[in-house]
Amino acid sequence: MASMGPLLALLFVAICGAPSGSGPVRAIELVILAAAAAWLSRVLAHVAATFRLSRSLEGRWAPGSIQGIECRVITDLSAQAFVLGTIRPRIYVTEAVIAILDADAQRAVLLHEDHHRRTRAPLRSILLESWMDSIGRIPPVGDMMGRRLARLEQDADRHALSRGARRSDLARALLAVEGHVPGTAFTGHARLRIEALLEPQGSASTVARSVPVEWLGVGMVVAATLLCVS
Amino acid sequence: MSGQPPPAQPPAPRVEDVLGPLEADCLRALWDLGPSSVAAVLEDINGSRQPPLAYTTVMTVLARLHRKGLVERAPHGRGFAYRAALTEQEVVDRCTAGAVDAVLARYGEAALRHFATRLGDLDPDLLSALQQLAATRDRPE
Repeated sequence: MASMGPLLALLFVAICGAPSGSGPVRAIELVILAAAAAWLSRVLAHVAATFRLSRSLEGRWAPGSIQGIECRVITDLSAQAFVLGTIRPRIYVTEAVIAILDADAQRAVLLHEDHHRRTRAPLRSILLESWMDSIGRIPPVGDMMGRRLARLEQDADRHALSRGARRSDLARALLAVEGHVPGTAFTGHARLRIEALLEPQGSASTVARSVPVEWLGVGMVVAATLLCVS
Repeated sequence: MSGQPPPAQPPAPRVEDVLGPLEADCLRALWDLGPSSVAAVLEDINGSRQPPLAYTTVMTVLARLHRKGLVERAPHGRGFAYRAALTEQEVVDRCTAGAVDAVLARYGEAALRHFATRLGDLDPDLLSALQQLAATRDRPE
C-alpha cells in the first residue's frame, strides 16, 4: 500500500490538476494537490495496517472490565496497554499489566487509555503520522507534528489526573510498562510527557492549548476536491 | 479496585491457543502416551480424526516441535522416541510471552496509542525524577 503512494499522488494530481489554469497559480495548486495526495495515501496505508492488526488480535482477547472501564484482556506475559481502531477504538490490556500493577496504577492506565478511546486518538495519530511520513522531513513541520503527538499523551495523562489518578500512579505505570515495540512513543515524546508529569501539582492547567493540526490534511483534501469540481 | 466488581477473568489459555492444530494434537498425544514413536502418536491422533493424517505429516510436525524445543527425542530401535519437554502451562507461557509484542511490531503502522513510552534513552536525571515520583504517595488533584 505504501509503495502505491507516489502512484496515487500522481494520478490524483493528473486528474485534479488538469482543469486548472496555468502559471504560478497552477504550480501552487499542483504542490497542494501532491501534498494532499501523498498524505492521503499514507492515511490509507495506516488504516489498512490497523485493519490487519485488529484481525490478528481476534481470538486472542476476552472481554473484561477494570475499574468500571471496559477493555479487551489479552493473555500475554509482556505488559501492554493500548487503544486500537479508527472508527470504534477499543482498549486492549494484557494480563501482565493486571498482574504487575497495583489497583491505583491500573486505574491510571485505564483512565489514560479511556481518554484516547473517547477522543479517537488512534485516528488523530495516524492523521499526524501521515504528515510526518509525507512532509515530516521539513523541520518545522516535523517538530510541530511531533509536539502534537506528544500532546495527545499529555492530554490523556491530565484526564487521568483530573479523574482522581495520582501522578505517582502514572509514574509507576510508566516505569512498569516500558515500550520496546514500534508504535510506542519516541523518547522525545516521553521527555515532554514526563516533564509535564513532574510539574508541581496544580500547574497542569497552565499548559497552553495546542492547535489540532491533525485535521489540516482533511481540510486540504476537501479543498483539493472542491478545486477539482470547480 | 475496591468497591468495583472484579474484572472478568479470561479463560485460561490452552495449547490450542498458541500452536497450530496439528502441533497441539501431537503434543496432546505425547502428554497422554508418554515417550512414544511416530507410529504411536499417529495412531492416537487418527483414532479420533477424519480424514486420517499421513505418517510423514506427523513425523514432520514432531520434527518441527523438536526444533522449537517443545519435545525431546532419543534413538529408539530404527527411529526416534519422542516425549513432551514441557507441561501444557509451560508451553503456553513460552509461546505467549511477547506474542503481542511481535504482532504489534508486525503492524507498526497501525492506528494505536500505546500507554508505554521508550525510557531507555531518557536523560538519567529525568528517569531518576520519575522513579522518585513513583515512590511518593502524592495526593489526587
